[in-house]
This record gives sequence, C-alpha cells and structure tokens, in this order.
Amino acid sequence: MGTLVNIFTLLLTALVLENAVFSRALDITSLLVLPFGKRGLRLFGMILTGTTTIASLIAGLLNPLLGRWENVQYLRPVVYIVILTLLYGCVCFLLNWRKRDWFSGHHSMITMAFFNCAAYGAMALTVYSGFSWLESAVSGLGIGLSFLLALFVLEQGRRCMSICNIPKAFRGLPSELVYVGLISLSLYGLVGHQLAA
Amino acid sequence: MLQYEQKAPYVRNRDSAFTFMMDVVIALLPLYFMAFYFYGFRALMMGLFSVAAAVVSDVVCLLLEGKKPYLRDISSVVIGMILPLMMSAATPYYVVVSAEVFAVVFVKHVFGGVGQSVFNPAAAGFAFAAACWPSQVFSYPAPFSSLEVFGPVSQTLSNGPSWNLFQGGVPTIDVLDLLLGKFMGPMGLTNILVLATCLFYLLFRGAIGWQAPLSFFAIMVTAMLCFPRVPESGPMSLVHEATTGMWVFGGIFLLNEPGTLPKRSSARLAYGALAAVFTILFQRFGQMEQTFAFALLLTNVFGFTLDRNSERLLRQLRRAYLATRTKHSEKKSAQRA
Amino acid sequence: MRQEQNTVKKNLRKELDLIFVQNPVLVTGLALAPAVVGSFTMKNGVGLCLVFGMVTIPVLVLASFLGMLPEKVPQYVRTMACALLAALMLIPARMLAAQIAPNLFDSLGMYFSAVALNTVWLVRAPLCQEKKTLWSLWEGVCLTVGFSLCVMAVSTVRELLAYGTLWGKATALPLKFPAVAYVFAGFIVVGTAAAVLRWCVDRCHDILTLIRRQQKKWRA
Repeated sequence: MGTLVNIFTLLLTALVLENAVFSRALDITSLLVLPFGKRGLRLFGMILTGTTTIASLIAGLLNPLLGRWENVQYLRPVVYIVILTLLYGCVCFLLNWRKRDWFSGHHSMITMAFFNCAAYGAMALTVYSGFSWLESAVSGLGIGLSFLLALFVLEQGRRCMSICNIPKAFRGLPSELVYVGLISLSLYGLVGHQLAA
Repeated sequence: MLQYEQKAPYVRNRDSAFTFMMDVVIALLPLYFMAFYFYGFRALMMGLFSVAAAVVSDVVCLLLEGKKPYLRDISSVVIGMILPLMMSAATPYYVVVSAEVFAVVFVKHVFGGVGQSVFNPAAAGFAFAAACWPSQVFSYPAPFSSLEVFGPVSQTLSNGPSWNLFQGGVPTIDVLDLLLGKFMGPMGLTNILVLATCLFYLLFRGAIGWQAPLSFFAIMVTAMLCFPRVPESGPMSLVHEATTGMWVFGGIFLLNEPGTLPKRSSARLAYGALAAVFTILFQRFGQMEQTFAFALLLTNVFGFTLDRNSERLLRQLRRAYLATRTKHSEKKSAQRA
Repeated sequence: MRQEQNTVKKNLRKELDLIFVQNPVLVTGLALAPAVVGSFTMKNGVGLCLVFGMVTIPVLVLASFLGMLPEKVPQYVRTMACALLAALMLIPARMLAAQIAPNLFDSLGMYFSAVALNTVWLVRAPLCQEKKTLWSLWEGVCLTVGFSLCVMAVSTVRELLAYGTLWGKATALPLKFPAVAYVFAGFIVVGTAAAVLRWCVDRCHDILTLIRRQQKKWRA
C-alpha cells in the first residue's frame, strides 16, 4: 500500500509540481515548434512517454553500477546518451524490419522522441533524486505524461490566442513562450522555490 | 449560420466598458478609504504610484504598437488600483511599480491589450512581486501605525495571521477585530464587511455576473466549513480563512475580470468552481501564504476551453431537444391521421 | 565562373542568415530548453555556448562525411553516429568548462549535457549530408554564433536584473529582481528577445526595401 501511495505521489509530482515542460522547460522545442500537427504531436507525446519511461528505467537499473566508477561525473552523461542511441537503433531496426511503411512516415518523429532534453532529463533526474528502478520508471512515465498535459494546455492557449489581437512582433513563438512562462509562474506558487537543474 | 468567436468584454446592455470599469473603480474606493484609515497616507501613495505606473506603461505600449491612447479606456487604472490592495502597506514603492509594469506590459499588452487578456494582469503582477520579493510583500505593519510616506518604513513588520494558518496554527485575534479588519494583513483585503458591500454594489450595478462568484464562494465556504485547514471548528475556520485570505477579494475583483471570464452562464459557473478547486489545492499544498493569484492564473488557462465546451454541450442539448420535439409532433400528427 | 561566384555568395548569405534572420533559438525555436533554464548568468551562458559549439560543429562536419556513404546505409544509422560523436564531445567540453569556471558544470546541471542532444544538429544534420564539408563547417560556425548571441544576450539581461552583477562583478544597478533567474522568467525573457529580434528584422527589411526603391527611382 505504501509503495502504491509513493508511486501515485511521484506521478502526481512529476505531472503537476515538477511538470517537465513548465518547471524545467524539457522538450519545449517539440511542443512549440515541430511541425507534426495536432494528431502528430499527440502521437509524438505517446512515443516520448514510452521513451522516457524505458530510458529512466534503464538509468535506474544502471545507477548503482555506474556509481562504482571513479570519474562517473564525467562519464555518466556519455553513458546515458550512448544508451539512448542504442535504444533508438534497436527501435528503428525493429520498426524498419517489421513496419517499414509506418517507420518511413514517422522516422523524424521517432528521432526527435529519442534525442531530446526530456529523454536525457528523465535519465539524469534519477540520479539527482536518488530513485530506485521502480521510482525511476514512474518518474519517466510522469515526465512523458506531463508533456501530454502541457500539450493539451498549450492547445487551449493557442485557440484562445488565435482570436486575440496580439502585436505583430509577439505573434507565434514569442507569445507562446510568454504564455508558457505565465503558467510556469502560476505553478511557482505551488512549488515555492526554484527546482534543481 | 456563421458564428464568429469574439473576445470579452461582452456588454449586453447600454452600459459601456467605461461605465463597467468606473463601477469597479467606485467599488475600490471604500477599500482605499479603509486602507487610509488604518495606515495613513502611505496607502494612498501606493495606489497613486501604482496607477501612474500602470497608465504610463499602458500609454508607452500603445505608442509602441502604433495605436493612439484612448482616454475612456481606464482598464489600466483598474489594474493599478487593484494591485496595491493585495500587498502590505509597508511594501516599497518600487515593488508596486515593478509589479504593475510587469502586469501591463507582459500580461495585458503581449496578448493584445484591453479585453484580450488571456491571464488576469493584476493577479500576474502580484504573483511576480510575490516571487521576486516575498519578504516585502508578506511583511505587514500593525494597523493604526503611522507609516512614513516616503522612504523605508521604520515600524516593526511581522507576519500576519495568514502565515499562522499556513503554518498550521490558529490565529489568536478577536472575532470582532477580524470582522472589522483590525489586524496585520494586506492593506485592502482585511475588511470583510466592506468587501461584502463592494460585492453587492457590483452585483446590483450589473458590473459583474452572479454565476462565477456564486459557484466560487459556495465551494470555498463549504470547503472551509467542512474541511478546516487547522484544528478548529468549521465556522471559526471560515471566519479566519475569509478574513485573512486573498480569496474573498479575488473572488470579487479578480475572478470577474471580463477579459478572462467566460461568456456563457454555464461556463462561468464551471469557471468559478474550477477557481475554487485550484484555490483550495494551492492553499493546502502550496508553499506560499497567499496563493489565490497563482491559482487564478492556472484557472485562466481553462476559461476559453470551458466556454467552447459549454457552447458545444448546449448546442448538442438543443439539438436533442428539437429532435425529440419533432418526433413527438410527428407521432401526434400520425395519431390524428 | 561568375555564376559559380554568385552561387557561393548566395550560399554565404544564406548561412549568415542563421545568425540573425533565421536565428536557431529566437526565430526557429530550436534548443530552447538550455536557453530558457540555463542562461541566468553570463558564466552559464559562456558554458552553454562552449558545449553547443563543441558539439554542433563536429557533428555537422561528420554529417557531411556521412553523406558520402552509399545510400544503402539507413538514415537512422547516420543519426546514431552523430549522437555518439555528440556524446563523446561532452568530455573535452566538460574539461574546458572547468577551466572557465570550476562550478559551471554543477551550476548548469543536466542542461550542460542536454545541449549534446540539441534539436539544432538533429534538424540540420540531414541537410548537411548533401553539402560539402566546408559548407557544413561554415553552417556549424554560423549556428554557433547565432545560438551564442541569443544565449549571451539573454544571460546578460537575466544576470543584471536578477543579481545586479555582470560576470559576477557588482554593478551600479539599484534594483534587483531575484525571480528573473527562475524558469518562468526565462520563458518570458526569451519570448521578449524573440519579439525584439523580429521587430528589428522587420524594421531593417522595411528600410532596405525603401532604399532599394529610392535607388530604382534615381536610376530611372
């Protein structure tokens, strides 16, 4: 029961309090800029959720082993990126082998889902927070879901801003950044302090 | 039929945006009078500086956008008057001015100016000030202490009863003093009776709708009565929370800002309820003593969505009603035949 | 010969556009996370620029070499090679960063290494596979300069406003806004910088059009 409560709290924290997009700006580029369209972005969010969950699970499992190295601080990021690369290679190979048509249409989306701040951030956060493998997986899942939540919120914001008479210089990316900034400010009232990078 | 989506304010009667805003200004004046009564000229000067900063930044933004300043647009005056009332009377002027400039430039004008705001400018300004200078914003002087009009305040400042509540303690203030607003707190938020009068005035004048405040206050009062934050009886918890918190003031002046408020009645009811839920969550799990402004900013995100979805829901209900009516009349005509 | 020269000039201009007109962060919106979160002091800004340059330039050069491989080699294998090189480049970048400021790595936290997976090279590397090595190098340099200009401008403003200092040294600024160092302010400052850049580019464009019209008139 205690573990379940712990997992639920962790998931809720990752979704709201430490929302990967609003509190840490992880993968904000994919959210604001990538031309995948509404449906494409949702699919991207789901792929990203899978990526962050698996990546942080692997990181959680590897952390005790990595901790034994002498120059672990230098090598940990390299190891994480190598793991992400190998994971990406495996997924691409399998998809290319089994579902070639789908893969050729979604290749860029899969690349972006693996090589971004969110996937790396999910792995790095397992070290900063000292998570076990289960907690790491839940935290990764929370980061992916928080991207989907942010996507929903930004969709509403875009609809609302589309009928506003926004000054020319602020139209598009600048106003969206200010919009995300103000949501981030509202969540600051809940957290009350700056999160560790 | 073509339907165009339009942003607020939606003025239905002969009153204009100017008369609506004048009503809000008139409703704010008693609060300034009480602030003057408790803290002297410094309270008025804070209001004056704030309004001046708001108007100047508004005019500068308009000129930068290549628009002409419109004399009958007093929205910046309203923002300028609301913001200092949420702060301590001893707050340095630069804090008020900075918060005001932030509110007008980054919240009002970035999204298109008057009536187009996506977020409440005054709430955002307060949130910015609270994030930047929490010690200045949340340190209060005692009422009837003569504060210096210019320069730093020499009186001892301390945390108000809202801090006690935030820490899980029960404030030891006489109930009469609480109702009269004779305790340390933000300069315009402590007078619950005056605030209630303001609410009735605005409702009577039609400057604000009844829907959002009704659902907001109903949920807030129920939550305070049934689930007190500190170990005390429900009614006492309600008195403490209502007199020391920002939510009563916010429920009257911030929640009903026409730029962010949904246009449909059902959406407004849902909006008020959502604001109440967020306020309670922020109050229970937040890390600041006054969190209403932050909760409202998050509520603002869903205002437009509620409007859209309520419209869709109503349209579907109307269609279903018309379909059943046609079926019924067809049945009747068949029976007659 | 003249045609070739014109093409070179055109390409040079096109790549130079990456500094201002097509700035990777403020206009294209790539690599936003480090620019928003990490750039709250000038030292951090320099650290980010250093990692960005050390990762992006070699990766784009490698991408142009990968373009010479036979078409049979799938795109994802090329991307993997680029990612591995980016990861390896983090080691010398970390060593150099320690020379600039010993606590730079800790101050930037995960964003130091996250720059290795920046979207700039992810978007540009497939394009660089069709270019010559020298052009890829030039593109990498232009992208680094564009990123550095944005990050340094944002970090200078944020350090000045948040702490009242420049490169850690106190200035005469009487007012400090501590919250400007926070993430929400990062979003707002970067958003405002993007708007300012767009306004400047639009004005420059207007002025240039006016001058061209005048020149045409005079010629006529």
